[in-house]
Amino acid sequence: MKKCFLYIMFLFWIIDIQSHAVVLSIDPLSQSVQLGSQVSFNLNIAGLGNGTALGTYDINIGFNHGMLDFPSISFGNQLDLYTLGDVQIVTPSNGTVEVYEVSLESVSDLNSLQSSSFTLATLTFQTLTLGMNSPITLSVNALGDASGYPILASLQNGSVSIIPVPEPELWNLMLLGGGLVGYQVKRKKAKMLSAG
Amino acid sequence: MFTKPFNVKRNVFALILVVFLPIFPITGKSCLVNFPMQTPATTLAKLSKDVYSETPQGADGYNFIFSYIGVNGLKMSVYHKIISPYINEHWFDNYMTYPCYGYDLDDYIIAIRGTYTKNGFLNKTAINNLLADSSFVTGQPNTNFRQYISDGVRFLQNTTRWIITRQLSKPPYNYSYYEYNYDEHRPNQYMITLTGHSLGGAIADVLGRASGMRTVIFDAPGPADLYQYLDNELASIPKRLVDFYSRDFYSNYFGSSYVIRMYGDAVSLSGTHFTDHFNGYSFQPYGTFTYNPPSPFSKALIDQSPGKYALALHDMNALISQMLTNAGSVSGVVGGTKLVVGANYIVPGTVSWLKTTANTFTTPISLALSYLYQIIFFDPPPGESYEFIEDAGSPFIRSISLPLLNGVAQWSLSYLLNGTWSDYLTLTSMDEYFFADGVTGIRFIPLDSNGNQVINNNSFTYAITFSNIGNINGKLNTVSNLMPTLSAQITGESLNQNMRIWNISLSNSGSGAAIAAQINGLSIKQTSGTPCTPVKVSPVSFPVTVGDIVSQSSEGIQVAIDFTGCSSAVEFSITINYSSNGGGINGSNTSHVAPALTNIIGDINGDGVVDIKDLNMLNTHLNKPSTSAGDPFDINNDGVINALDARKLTTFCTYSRCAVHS
Repeated sequence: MKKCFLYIMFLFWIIDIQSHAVVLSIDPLSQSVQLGSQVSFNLNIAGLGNGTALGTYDINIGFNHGMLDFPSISFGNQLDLYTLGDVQIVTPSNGTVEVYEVSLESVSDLNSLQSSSFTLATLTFQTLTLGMNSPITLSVNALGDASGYPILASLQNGSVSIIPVPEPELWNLMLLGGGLVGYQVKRKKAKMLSAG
Repeated sequence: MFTKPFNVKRNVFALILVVFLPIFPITGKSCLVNFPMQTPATTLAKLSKDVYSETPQGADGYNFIFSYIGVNGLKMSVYHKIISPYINEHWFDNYMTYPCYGYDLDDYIIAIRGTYTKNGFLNKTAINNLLADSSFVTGQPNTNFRQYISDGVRFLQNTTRWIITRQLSKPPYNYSYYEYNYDEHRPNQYMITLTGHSLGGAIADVLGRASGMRTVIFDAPGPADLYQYLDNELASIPKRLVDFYSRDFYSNYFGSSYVIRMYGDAVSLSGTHFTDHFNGYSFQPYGTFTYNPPSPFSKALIDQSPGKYALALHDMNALISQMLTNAGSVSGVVGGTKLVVGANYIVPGTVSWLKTTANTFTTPISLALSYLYQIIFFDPPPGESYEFIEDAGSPFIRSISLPLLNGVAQWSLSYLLNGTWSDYLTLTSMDEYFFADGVTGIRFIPLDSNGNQVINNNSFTYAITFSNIGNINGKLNTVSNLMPTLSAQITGESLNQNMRIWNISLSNSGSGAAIAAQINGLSIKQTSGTPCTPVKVSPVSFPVTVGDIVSQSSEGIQVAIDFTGCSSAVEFSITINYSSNGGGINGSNTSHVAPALTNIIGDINGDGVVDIKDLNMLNTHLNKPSTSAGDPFDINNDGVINALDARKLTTFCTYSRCAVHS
């Protein structure tokens, strides 16, 4: 009976942990863009709150530098609550961009005013070549709360597919096919009406 | 044909001598008179110096007897020595030896003090007495000089009366067969010589000329042009007997006058000496002798800048030394620059003089033809530091030469060039410093040989030349605020508790340079907390030299203190003692050090505060392992330097959002 009770409590604890787990994710997890256009990912964090606020992060974002080129980033404002400025450092290299931010806000402000889920930064890449399901990976150098203590987080990597841009002839065939399909549907409807 | 009664005894003796001397020639020694023809000039020079002394000692066996001092400063001292040429001497002929009987000579020296100066260099009073008041240039004796002569005549009356009375009280002349003297009751012979240095020499010369007494004077201006105006003052001067039968031994040297001077002395070149009026056929001996200058001076050096050394070479000690060492002399007045006096009496290329009243020139040289390379002497009043600033439009100052005063070996000099005061430089006394064009002001502070400031309480003169033509107007000031104002403080520290480095800064907020500033000591006194004992690691002893600190600047040193064992709650008061300018400036400052004797977490740069500068420093070490335990970058001591340390650092920031405060 006692063992059964402890087991049940353990399950509740696991469930509780999982419900409050901090997740770092690429958003959207997967997307497909045409070659030549830009593709943007949000670096999101979720599962904060309940006295845990993000004070700093230092994350490496990996990508296929044959397919993507990193041109720009914009930071969110949840570490700079009053938009008075904080420390932001971006260090790109081949296949990796290190994104580092330290809040200058007070511990109490971060804990009380920061959202539980928000976008840390939005990274924009330029597509270079075609490819399917190329991973966008996350690795954490450091993730700290408002007091500088480490935060454990699960990571959700993303992916991107770069597809070719359709040719003009293909567009014509598609329009023709679409027209024929529409014609057949229309004729089928007319037949059914005349039969009914 | 004989004016005196025939004396059989004397004439018989003469006949015997005439008849028998060729037969029995005297082969022995006779009692020849070998008195010195004159009192040695070196002795007179020593006595001319001795009369300056407040405790006269005499010289060369001449004893000080008494002095007179007049209300306006004239001092006359009487010295005396008995010269006995026959002591222990005998004369003899073919038959026997006889003692020499003779008369002693009482030699009296009357020395007159020149311009009184304690520091050996002509000061303001000296110059005024010697030049401005006596008007040797204008040739018109003024009230002061007339008073000097009147006093001198009165003193001379008293002195000669005393001498004659003294001589008459002596035993009568010891008559001897063998000497042809006609007066059997003649008192002992005596000799009077007047002497003096500088202004005293000039007065002696006038008195000697009027009385007929022999005079030997040293570095004295010539009073000959003044003499004709002094009949009233000299009317009652005791006249010396000039006939051949005078009781005065050296009557044939009536009015003899000697001028002895140093090459380059400016004073003795002013005025006109009596010797200038004599000629080669004059009955009276006379002469002017110019001694070679002593080292480090030389004739070439003096000729190059005659005005520069003019007053330095007026020193009596130097002249005596040159005379004693037979440094060589030439006849006549040669070498040096003539000292010209008077507000409106300027000759280009000569030395001139400006009088000051209340530190302001009252007599600008409006009639001067040119001031080019002309040396003008100013006379700053007593004070700590000095300043001369020209009015607009005055000629630029070309050079300056500052005197060698008692205890002053060098000077700290600043100059006003194009409206900006220069940093202080060091100028050796008597050296001439040449400025660039455009200098209109000078400031200078007397220093000793070690570079320490001397608080000079004596007036003095200094010489400047000008680089172009024009009227000079300006102000001569004694300024005390040229002194430096020092303060000490701890301006920075490093972090390590076991080797805390303090930067100690000495700041000079005053207008004058702090010369040879030093930290004399640093005391650490615990004021709160558990007792502990900080240890001074370096320097282990004080004083520590900081160096010269120019105005409105700072210099500093570092000290290292080991605070191991002291908790963060401990507080100390730190007292820093300092001084400069040879102790003329000294003081201390106390600051409190607390509670940060333990390391300030996050204060990576050790400036005492945690701010964005520290965070930026940490950001350059991201994602690296800490180098050691207690690595200041590893704020959370987890062995790695990363964003967690950065965020933790922000929680220790001294000001909100890690702002930097000055």
